[in-house]
Amino acid sequence: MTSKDAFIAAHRFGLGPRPGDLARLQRDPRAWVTAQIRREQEIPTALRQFTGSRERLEAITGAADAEKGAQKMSGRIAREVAVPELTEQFSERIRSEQPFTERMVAFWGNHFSVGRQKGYNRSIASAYATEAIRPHIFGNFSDLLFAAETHPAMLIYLDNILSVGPNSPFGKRRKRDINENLAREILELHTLGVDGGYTQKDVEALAAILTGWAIPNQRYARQSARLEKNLNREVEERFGPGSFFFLLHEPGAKTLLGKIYQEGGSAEFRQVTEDLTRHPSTAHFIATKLVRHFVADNPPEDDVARIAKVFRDTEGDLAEVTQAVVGLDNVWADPLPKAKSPQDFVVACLRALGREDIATLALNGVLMQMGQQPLAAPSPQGWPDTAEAWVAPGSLMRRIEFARELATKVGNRLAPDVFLNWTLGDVASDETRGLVRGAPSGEEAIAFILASREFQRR
Amino acid sequence: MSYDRRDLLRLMGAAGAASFLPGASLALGRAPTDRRLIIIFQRGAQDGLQALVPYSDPFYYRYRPGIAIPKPGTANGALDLDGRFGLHPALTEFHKLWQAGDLAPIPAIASRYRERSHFDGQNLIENGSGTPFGANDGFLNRALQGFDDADARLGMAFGYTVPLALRGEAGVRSWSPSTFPEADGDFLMRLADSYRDDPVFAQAIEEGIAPMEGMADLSQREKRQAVRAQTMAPAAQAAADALSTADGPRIALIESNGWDTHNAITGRLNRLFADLDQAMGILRTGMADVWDDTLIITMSEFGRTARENGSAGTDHGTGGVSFVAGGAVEGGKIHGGWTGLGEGALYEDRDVAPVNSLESLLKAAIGPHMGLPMTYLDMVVLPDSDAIGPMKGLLG
Repeated sequence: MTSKDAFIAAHRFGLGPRPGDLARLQRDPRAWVTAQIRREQEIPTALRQFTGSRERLEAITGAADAEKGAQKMSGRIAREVAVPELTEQFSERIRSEQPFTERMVAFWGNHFSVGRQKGYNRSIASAYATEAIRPHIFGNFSDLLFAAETHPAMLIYLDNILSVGPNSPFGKRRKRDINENLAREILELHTLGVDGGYTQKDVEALAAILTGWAIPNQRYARQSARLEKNLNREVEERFGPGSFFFLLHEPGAKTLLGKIYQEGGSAEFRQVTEDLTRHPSTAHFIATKLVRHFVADNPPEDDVARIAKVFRDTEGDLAEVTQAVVGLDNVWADPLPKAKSPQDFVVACLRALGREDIATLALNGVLMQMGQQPLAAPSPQGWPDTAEAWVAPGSLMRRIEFARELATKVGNRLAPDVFLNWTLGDVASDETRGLVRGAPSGEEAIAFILASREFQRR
Repeated sequence: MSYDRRDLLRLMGAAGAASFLPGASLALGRAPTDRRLIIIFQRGAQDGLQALVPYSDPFYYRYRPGIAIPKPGTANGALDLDGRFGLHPALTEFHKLWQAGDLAPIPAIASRYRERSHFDGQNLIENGSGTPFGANDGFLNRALQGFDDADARLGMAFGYTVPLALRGEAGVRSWSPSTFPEADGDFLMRLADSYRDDPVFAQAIEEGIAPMEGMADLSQREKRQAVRAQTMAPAAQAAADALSTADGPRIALIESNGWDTHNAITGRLNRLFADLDQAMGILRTGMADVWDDTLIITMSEFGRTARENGSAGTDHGTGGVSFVAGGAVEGGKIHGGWTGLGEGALYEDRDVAPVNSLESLLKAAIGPHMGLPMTYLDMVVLPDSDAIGPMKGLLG
């Protein structure tokens, strides 16, 4: 067991060591990682204090009939609930003793990326990771897929709340139509991948299947009382924070990827998530992203094939799949193949210094200037996962300036050689050791460590 | 502070960087061309029919009953150009350029991409290969490599990261607003030295510390404003400052986001076009001294559906709109073909037809305008494009 393995466990799988972590991990780094793979995930206490997104949406849509009242309530919830919630999530990543869990929440949250820039998402997108992602990171992929796509934040982000079957009860009266956005991204970005073997017809079929998945809305609620009496049927079916309204659902059989789905309302998409999970293109696409995240920017084909096989054989059991990733020889070969993203970097700096108290400072402005504000990825593709994308001249300068500035707040209280061993251990290069030895002040020595290429990689 | 940074550059011995030393440009030679090219990349697929409004076509109003821009002369109406087309009413600076003969709108323009994924569409344009994953470097970077002195960092990105279009072997500069105090030169120099065996970090730090004269002088308050505003204006100002200097960059890309207007298009485009218009005004003023050498192109990965959707927006389409501005353009007229929106004219009965070629526009900009030979464009910059010639009549 070498310190290199401890470095890999702490930086690549975790979010960077807290003081003393590297020494503790040293005994059995792999076991430290795999012990965190637990099918049942508890929500950390600090994240349980916030109301769920369903309650928030009900407060918004129930605030007043007028659009104005809803907007006002949405803004208030954004300020009073969503912003503190994001801050608390960031703090959790800094103080967590289960950092691999936190990394996987971030990984899957980025795979099923949503943004908080759109509509009511400013008030609810912060709840998405806790409600839709975290419970399933080591569960079955089809459950994760279902929870992510039917969460209100996703339905808002990719316009499914606007999609109405033209032959649905609502669509016929209001002359509304289907919006394909969510269907296209599910196939292209979340499951099969762009070359995964689907056509425009499949996008259209999936879009029809997805009609009906929407958010609580006063208008439907008012209609439901009337309709429920007439139709003798519930208007809103609830699935966690998401809702299905058959009033919006395009009726009839749909053909997706060669399979006919008979009219089944909300059950259609539940079945689709299981079929997409069994599709070999999904196994390959997910394996590629995992191997890119844990092995190298250019994922070795053998590793991808191995992980894809586990995904297929276990029909998307993410505990098994993740275990297989940890077991790849290539994972433990090179300590520094990946660059930390800006969020990873800022979290790692604050973990190294044991400073979750400055999470708010880190959130505001710092991440934007480094190009990675929480829940603000430039597209539904999420954030990139390569060194080339992150180590750009401008954002690297911001990282260095951040490290230098942070060191002024703590530098004189830390012994540089101890801090070097805490953070980099044996992976520290001669160049970096030289920098630290020759630093004009303790403060600059700490800054050199945080800004070193070893610390910025993982 | 800037003295330290120059020392640093001298010590690093970067040939290109040396040309930034004040007074050194004469001794070391100027940039290999005086021409300037600025691309404003509107990510998300701009709705061309709202930017350049074909108000004389009755189908426009039939397809877009809820969102069409009214005819010129009515409230919130289009700004008339030639009796057929008008500009979105927020594009007042664009309209001034048109009146000065410095604006060439191109309707119905599309790259070689015929699907409807943002990411593939942007990739294909940025890597220049004609397929979404056909190359790992960018067409603008390969264009930079075609100049004699590719080391002079003639390319520059304005945004928080360097986009694929500018990534590759040629060094490029980048600009993004920052509120952090600058790290001092000695600190950066030592750090850069320790990065030397890591090419990704070594290149990024070298390019990150290349000083941008003029921009370093922003006050802390101005920096904060620029970061908070999230508009294109600070980037446009920085681009104008950088590209108008004699030994500054020559090819720039300015990022512009938020164009994916699936819903509530009217209010969103009012804001986006106002922001774009302000940026264009800043570029026009800031680059006055080099205006005759300047070409500014707006472009997007594809256009949007001709018909509005059920949510007062439009969905991913094909033909879009580019504007070409600058003293170097043959402006004051609509360039390229236009086959209208009537029955049978739409691509797949839903999108504006791809009548004009984006690659053809880019070829005119990089070839005749920037001065690179056409064979180099056909083979390196935009491979497999020899069937597409440079757009004719575009340059004044």
